[in-house]
Amino acid sequence: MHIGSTNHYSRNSIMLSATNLCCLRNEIQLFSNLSFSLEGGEILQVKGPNGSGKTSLLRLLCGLGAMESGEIRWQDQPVSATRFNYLREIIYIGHNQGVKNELTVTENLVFFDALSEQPSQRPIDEIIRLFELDSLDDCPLHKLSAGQKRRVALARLMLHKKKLWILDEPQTALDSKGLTLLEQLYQNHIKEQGMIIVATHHPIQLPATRIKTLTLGR
Amino acid sequence: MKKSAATAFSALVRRDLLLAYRYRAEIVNPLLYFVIIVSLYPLSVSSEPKVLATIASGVIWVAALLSALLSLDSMFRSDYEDGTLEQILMSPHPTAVLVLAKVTAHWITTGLPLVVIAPLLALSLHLDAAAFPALLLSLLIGTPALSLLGAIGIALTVGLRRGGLLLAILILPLYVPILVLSSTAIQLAAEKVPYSGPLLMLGALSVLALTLAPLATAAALRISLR
Repeated sequence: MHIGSTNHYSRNSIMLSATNLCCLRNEIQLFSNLSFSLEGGEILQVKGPNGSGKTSLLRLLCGLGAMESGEIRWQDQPVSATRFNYLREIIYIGHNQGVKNELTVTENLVFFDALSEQPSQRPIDEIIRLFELDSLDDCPLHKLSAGQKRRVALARLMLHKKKLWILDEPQTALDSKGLTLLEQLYQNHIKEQGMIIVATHHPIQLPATRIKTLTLGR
Repeated sequence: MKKSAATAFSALVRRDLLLAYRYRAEIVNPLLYFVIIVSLYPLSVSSEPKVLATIASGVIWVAALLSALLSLDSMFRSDYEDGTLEQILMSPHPTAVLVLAKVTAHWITTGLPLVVIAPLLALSLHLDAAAFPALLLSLLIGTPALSLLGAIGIALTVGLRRGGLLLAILILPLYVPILVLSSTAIQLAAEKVPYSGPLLMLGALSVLALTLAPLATAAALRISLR
């Protein structure tokens, strides 16, 4: 049976669900009995004071952290059983952005393209131009400002078509133009029935978008 | 079209070689350390050619082992600190393949230079000319195993701030068979008797490390990143 590449997700099916997540760090309980679900076209905003476990939750969802108990399901399959199918569909930009200071903008993006299985959906130099990094594409990242580095990390969002974006404080260090660009990225992704989980304190202003909030540390 | 794991493997090797080229000190340091250890022996033990020739094989291999230990820390450290390691573990390609790419690049930048410079040092230690093939072969077969086994140890300790001593305690017992077999092979060659036995054993160890170490390293990295 042939399945179309983009539209085989029905509009209102629950794609990602987490039930009764519990996470410990250094013997301290960060959160427990945390449940949520996410459908195509929805944003989940994770809030909470510093140290309340936002980053731990996001890493857990990426399969990087250790879960005490609970279950994460992707398209009704436990993630632990379909690990690689799940990893194909998600992208994570964490606090440590995963970009190399010694490599240039282009080299960084070329490397991320190679780590994925899919071919990039548009040429890398076009992505660099969209993020207004074209005058810097041969610069090693340690010569760039924090905001420019953040743009390089965010440029990865455009490399491949991923269903679920998991972002940890993506606004950090961005200027107003960068913030507008990020909002546009959100908008396009949501329009294509993508999902975003983002840890941030900034209000997200997107018209006609369902935004769920999850507040940790209460 | 889907990209294969081989593409990711070669991209990772190329990236690590490029990083090593931009940070040349990381290649030069272990090599310099190797040269310094070997050149201290004639000064401290004896400058008598006969004495030097008998200890040459052991000296070169002990120096290779210590310099490998020194260079291991750089294998995953910077990727761990800037978050690239998380991205590597989240790649849909098998982690063991990507780990093997990292080990390969590490060996090319730290193991291979030792193989190249060792004959020169052996010459200065008056090693018997008949032992040179055994020296080169033992280094060519043995140093990849040093990188492969070391990767397991460094993957387990990468999350610790001061894992240096722990790494040595974890890894040195695994290095001992390599050290014993290699120096035995070189000594046998110097005495002009067949030396293929210990070299074949060494080869078997290396193949074992090649098949199992990437899997163990991948599992260790997952634990370290929790």
